[in-house]
Amino acid sequence: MSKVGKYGEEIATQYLLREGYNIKERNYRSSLGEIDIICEHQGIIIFIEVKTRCSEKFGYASESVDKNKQKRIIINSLNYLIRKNLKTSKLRFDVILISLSNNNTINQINHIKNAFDLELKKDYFNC
Amino acid sequence: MFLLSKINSATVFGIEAYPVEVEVDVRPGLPIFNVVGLPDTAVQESRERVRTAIKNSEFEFPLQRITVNLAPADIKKEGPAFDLPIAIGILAANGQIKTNLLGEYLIIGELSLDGTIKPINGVLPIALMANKSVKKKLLVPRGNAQEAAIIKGLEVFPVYSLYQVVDFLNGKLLIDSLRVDIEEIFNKKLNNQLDFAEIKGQEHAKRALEVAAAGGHNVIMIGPPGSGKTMLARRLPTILPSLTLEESIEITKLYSIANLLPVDTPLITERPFRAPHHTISNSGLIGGGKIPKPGEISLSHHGVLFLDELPEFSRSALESLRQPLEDGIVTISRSLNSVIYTSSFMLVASLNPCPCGFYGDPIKNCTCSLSQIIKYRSKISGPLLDRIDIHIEVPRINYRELEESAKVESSLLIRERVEKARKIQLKRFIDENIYNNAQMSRRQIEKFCYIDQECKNLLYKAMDKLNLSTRAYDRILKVSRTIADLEEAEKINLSHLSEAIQYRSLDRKLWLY
Repeated sequence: MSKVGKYGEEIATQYLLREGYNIKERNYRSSLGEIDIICEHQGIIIFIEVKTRCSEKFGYASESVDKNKQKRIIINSLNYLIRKNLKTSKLRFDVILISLSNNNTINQINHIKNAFDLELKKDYFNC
Repeated sequence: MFLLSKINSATVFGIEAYPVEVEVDVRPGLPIFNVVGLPDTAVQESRERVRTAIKNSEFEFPLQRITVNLAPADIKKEGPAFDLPIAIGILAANGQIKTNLLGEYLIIGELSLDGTIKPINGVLPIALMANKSVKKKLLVPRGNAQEAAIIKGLEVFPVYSLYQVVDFLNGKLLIDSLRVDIEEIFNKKLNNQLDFAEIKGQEHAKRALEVAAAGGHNVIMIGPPGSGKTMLARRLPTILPSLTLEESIEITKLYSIANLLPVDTPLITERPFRAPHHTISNSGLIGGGKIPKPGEISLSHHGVLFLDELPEFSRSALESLRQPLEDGIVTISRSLNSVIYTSSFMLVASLNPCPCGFYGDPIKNCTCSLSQIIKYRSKISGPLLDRIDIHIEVPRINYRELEESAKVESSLLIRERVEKARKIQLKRFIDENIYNNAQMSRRQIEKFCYIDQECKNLLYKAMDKLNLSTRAYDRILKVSRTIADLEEAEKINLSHLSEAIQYRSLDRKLWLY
């Protein structure tokens, strides 16, 4: 993982703690991929993808979480729920976008809650 | 900054336009661009056109969650006409258009990738709908502006690029609303090349067509190849009464929907003449398709539908003509919807007397067997023939007749007589909800086609002698009424009746010359 990415995840974690989220896992890895942050807030399990950009063209960070990436995160999260026996809990998928200026100071943190959804019609286990 | 914007637009379904509200919601989230509200493929694809056109017009395309709803959500939306309203909606929801006047406009247009606005189909029905509603201001593509401006009482703003529209809505730019002189367009008749004066000989056929035009009767012409059937039919629209503005708009509506309106012709001012090839499919003839489109019978609305070589048409296509011939409208039903197109046309059919074409010809011998001839003629069913009032025999003419420069009448003269006869009919049917003699029902025939005993005797005699079927009876009365109208006669007399009797050659049971 790049330095910027690691730094961005650190910022996101600090931000979530400030906002009162319970961090459960960081960089949760399985054979299905990686989830940046898994946390819990008001009884909801939240899976968070962190995207960090140094460039001014902030918009592109949000575009980089495309359908494929979303699908991988969803599959991995379901896998996590099964492993931890949390199948009945509520869940949510967030994206945190962090823009940094040139001297690595934080420019903006954009927390998109419920950025994407589990779609019932998709067969997530068929891949 | 607004997050939600609403744009007024419209879609065409059948021949009527319906208002559609384009709602655009832009809110934070991962960038997704969804269109809901029964859009078809062209509307779905508008997402890419809108995105690119906005970027290429140097506006900002919001990288947020964009949801577009086309309300009412239960009518199918088709075509690219929603490109412009969607683009304007996104820019307004994003705060790049700041105006409170957005609700006053009705916006339609297709976008190209560089942000220019392309013309679309069916602008006239939309303009007509707008005129009935409260939204009297239209933003339409420049290519369609004249078509929309025909409707009086509308403010039509011709637009050609997204950039221009945004400036206009933001009050930075003034666009003059387009005014057209409808009288001038309507009276600008095309220089019609065709004229009845070009036809030498065939006086009998010309007279029959005059009668047909005067009463709105359907016609079938029987004759050997090269006798001038097609030539006669092509000139029929030139003797039909001039179009009224209302009829003209009705025709233009259909052509606008079918995307057949010629460029620079905002209004069709001539009666249409359609001559489809005999390989035409059912839906090509009466209209249809997955998204229903008007067929040839609707495109010849208020004009002439010419079916050359009638027996060559597929039987089912011919049978499908029956309902529209009767009602003047055609209903196209599909599993999900049904549309109604107007199709009140004059049917002109032509056929050869036999497959080789020379049956009954005085010079050339026919080579067909009797069974061949019977088979050929049986393609035209009784019910269809029942709806055709006038049968004309168009014999081959001698070349010597061509040389003779007898006085021939121009279409203009004939048209004057026809218009006079039509006026008489309009007056007569003022309380009857019909317009011409051909539309008379049984009851109306009894009421308006009174004949005295002398005429009755002639008619009975003729029916016996000529072996006419019973269906010919009503037809003969109708046609003789028209002939009387042409002579401005109150009562049908013997000469009118006897002329009408000779227009029933196909009803003769043996049908021999």
